[in-house]
Amino acid sequence: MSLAGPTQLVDFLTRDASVVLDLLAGMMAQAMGQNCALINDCTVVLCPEHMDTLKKGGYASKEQVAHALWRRTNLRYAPCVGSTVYASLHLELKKNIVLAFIVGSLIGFFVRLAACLGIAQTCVPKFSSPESLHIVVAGADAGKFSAFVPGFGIGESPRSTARMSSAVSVEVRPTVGHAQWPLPEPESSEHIVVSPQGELDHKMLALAERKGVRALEEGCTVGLMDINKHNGDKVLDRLEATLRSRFPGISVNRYAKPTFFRPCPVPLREQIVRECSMVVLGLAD
Amino acid sequence: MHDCAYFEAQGLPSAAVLSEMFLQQAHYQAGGLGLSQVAGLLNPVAHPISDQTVAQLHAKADACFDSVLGALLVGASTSEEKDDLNQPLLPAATDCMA
Repeated sequence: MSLAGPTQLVDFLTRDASVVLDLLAGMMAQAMGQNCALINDCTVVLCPEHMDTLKKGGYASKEQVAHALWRRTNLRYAPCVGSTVYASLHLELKKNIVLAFIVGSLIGFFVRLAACLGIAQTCVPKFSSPESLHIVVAGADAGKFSAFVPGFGIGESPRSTARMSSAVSVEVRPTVGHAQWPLPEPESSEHIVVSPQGELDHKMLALAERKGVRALEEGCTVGLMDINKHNGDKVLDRLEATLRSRFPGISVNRYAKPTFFRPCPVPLREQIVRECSMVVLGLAD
Repeated sequence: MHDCAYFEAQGLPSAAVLSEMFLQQAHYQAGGLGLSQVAGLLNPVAHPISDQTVAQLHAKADACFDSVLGALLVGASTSEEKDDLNQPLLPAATDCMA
């Protein structure tokens, strides 16, 4: 299927199925632009964590998810229906601009009114039908990153843009299998397998010397460095409290690096080395 | 892992607390940094983290506390590894109470 660009939902906090659907619906309502309705196909890639949340919320099948998502997307699309009708009548069908404005405004008014009452319009749906939404569960076990990818195809026949491309399922087989290292010798000169893995030439690093529990009993300074990911500080708070409880003679210094996606700045690293006898880093999730 | 490698190279014992889902990546990255004994530094906690309540986060911290101590004191986060290392063992919890 030919596709528009994927749009990703980045989420960290959601534990409620209804909120997951609303977050996705809010983004999907703007797919391909606010005046673009009746999109024929859309692949919705749910990450495993979002799918778990939806299952816990009572959505037992992909069909249920698709219906709920379709309805909520139409609800979120309500403010755009009037302008969509106007654009379709005037710009596409070349109707009189005044007529297009009046019709668009009237339809838009009633659709917005219905939306205020929680009634999702279906006269100009964002996606043709619930069956337009193809739900796929994919991605790593960790990370609430779902996405949707609209397909090419808008409106219904005889509109020229209708069904330009249709979704199909085709088995994708690995062509070379999992790479083994070192790579086997090719069977012939016609087959050359090149590994994308890099090769590093580095010195092996031994762990620092540990002094056992006496270091804590003698009252050393323990550093706790927050890498600045959400909720990591709560875990470090608890570790600090437990450390202080079990080893009352110790000092605990708290640090936080500016961002989790870069190594700790050199001045802060050096400060920790100067001030501490050992350091705990967390929390990477 | 970069920070752990730096601290270890400077002679500072370190322990990294991370989601269990990222253990494999941590091992891979540590290998690239030359940190061959990285298993002794890593202290996994149950995923997820970001959407958890404070009580749940504290429970995760409690669950990994002994492992963190093991990493800091003997460079091993599992009891099997601790036994392998002829280092002073951890005190019993009651011995450490104030």
